[in-house]
Amino acid sequence: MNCDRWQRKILRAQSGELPDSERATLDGHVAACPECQSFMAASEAVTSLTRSTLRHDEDPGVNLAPIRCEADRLASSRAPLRFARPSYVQITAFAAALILVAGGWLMLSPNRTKADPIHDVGILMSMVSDAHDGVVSLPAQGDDATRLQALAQEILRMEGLSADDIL
Amino acid sequence: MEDRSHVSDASLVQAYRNGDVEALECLVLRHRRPLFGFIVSMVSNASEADEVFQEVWFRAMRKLSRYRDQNFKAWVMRIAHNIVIDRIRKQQGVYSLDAGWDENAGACLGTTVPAHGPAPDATAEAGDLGRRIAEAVGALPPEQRAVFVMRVEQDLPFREIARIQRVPLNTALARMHYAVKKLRVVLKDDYVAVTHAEPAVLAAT
Repeated sequence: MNCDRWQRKILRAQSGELPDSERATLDGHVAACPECQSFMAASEAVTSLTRSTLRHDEDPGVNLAPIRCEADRLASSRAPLRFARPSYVQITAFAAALILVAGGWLMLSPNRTKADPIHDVGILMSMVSDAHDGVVSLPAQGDDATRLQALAQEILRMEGLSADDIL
Repeated sequence: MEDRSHVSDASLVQAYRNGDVEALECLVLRHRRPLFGFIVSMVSNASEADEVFQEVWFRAMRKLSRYRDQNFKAWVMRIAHNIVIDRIRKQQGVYSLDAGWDENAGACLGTTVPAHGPAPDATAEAGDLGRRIAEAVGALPPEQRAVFVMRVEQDLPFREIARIQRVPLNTALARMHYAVKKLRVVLKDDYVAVTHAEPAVLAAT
């Protein structure tokens, strides 16, 4: 029978980490399993034997000098870092200013989101012209207002209407 | 140095970050026993343990600015663990930690380097037993040895050991399980002789 799972529970129980809810189940298994009884006894014995012979309770008498020396060196090398901090502030401020300028330029740019009106009127005229097999005559040049007015008149003409009919 | 025995680890760390070097010395002295005990059980000899101990604190000093853990002991133990495991892995290029128990089988770190921890003379009552245990523990694979040492010598709970090794709890338990299974075979005669365990039960091992 593979008792690995139970034996790991035994280790947890010996370290006091097994929840009470699992303890009764473990006790029940161990009572009926010679292999786990043997493991439990061996684990306790090996642990106790090792603790009694190898435990390092003596004061190691640590040499603090090199640690103190390194700590002093690091402490002194930190000073320039403190003076260097403003440069990080300056970099951050410069980056923020750059973002503000770029954002402002994009928002205030005259062509920010405005569509190209000439291009749009051109498409509209092409659509009307195509719908009437190119027989309509639309101005290819002129300003947008003039071209739109001409387009509107052409549509009215094709529908047999005049400007007076819709005003 | 003023008495700071009542000052918490976290406060000492903060004081050190603010430039108080003595606060670091307090931390070193406070944690020297468990830390050195762990290191000396993991490396091959006391002089190497001294070297590793210094290295642990040098590394800790450099990392203290990033220290966020609540448990300083576990944090510094993790640094020690990483350093000794790295060293052992480098040594494995020369020695095999898992070469087996047959002394005639060739180089095995547990049998070719001096027993770590207190010299056998220091454990006069145990005599050869201390040396045998040290060799048996020293011959465990490093991760298993680390779990065994932290559990048995440092009394750390498995949950803490798993955090130090950055492994799941079940992995830490499995490592301890393997370690105990190996040690019970090697030390069976010894613990039968020195414990009051039921002979019939132990004989079943």
